[in-house]
Amino acid sequence: MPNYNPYQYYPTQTNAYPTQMNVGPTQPTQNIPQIQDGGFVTIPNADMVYNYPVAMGKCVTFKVEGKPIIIEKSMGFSQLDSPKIERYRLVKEDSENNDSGERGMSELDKVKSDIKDIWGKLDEIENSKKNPPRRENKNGES
Amino acid sequence: MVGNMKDVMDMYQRFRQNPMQMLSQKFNIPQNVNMSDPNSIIQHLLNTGQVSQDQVNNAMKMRNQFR
Repeated sequence: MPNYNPYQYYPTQTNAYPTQMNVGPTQPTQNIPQIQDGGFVTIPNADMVYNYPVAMGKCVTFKVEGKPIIIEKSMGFSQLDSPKIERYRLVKEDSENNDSGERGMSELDKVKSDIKDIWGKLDEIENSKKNPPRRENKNGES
Repeated sequence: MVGNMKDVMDMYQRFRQNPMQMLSQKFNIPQNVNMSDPNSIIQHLLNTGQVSQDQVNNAMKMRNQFR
């Protein structure tokens, strides 16, 4: 039996965890703060927006009761920033599928014009077959 | 117990005499905030992170309902 000293330090396995690979200098990431949604509030009149408290870095959306108006109030990330107020007017659509209907029509028109072009080219080819271009003789006689 | 009751009564009396002062002490509202304007108080609480925007929105909705 080998001489085993219970008080001697026997090193265990070194580098139990693999060393991290050196991937070179990393690009500094820019953490640009973005204004977050601060909720949707219905207000009786538009003047309330100017005094409505909004937290820094938040944007609250307001709907004025009985009017087709949407107002957004957003605050910057500093107390020194002044609030930004943007006002939008809602436009009523004539029908629910108005947008898709318009898109469908425009696509249909495009297909129609393509078909017209193809038919026009086919007609040209057919006409050229029926009336081949006259070849002039060297003497100039046809 | 009697001492505690006396403290509570004192606090109540102080609140009755000057409620705004008690609130400003409780929420650490500085002197430059206009205590007569609730919106400026709420704005300070928002800026210091003592209340959230959702809490303010809910409170304002309730206020509009009872107007």
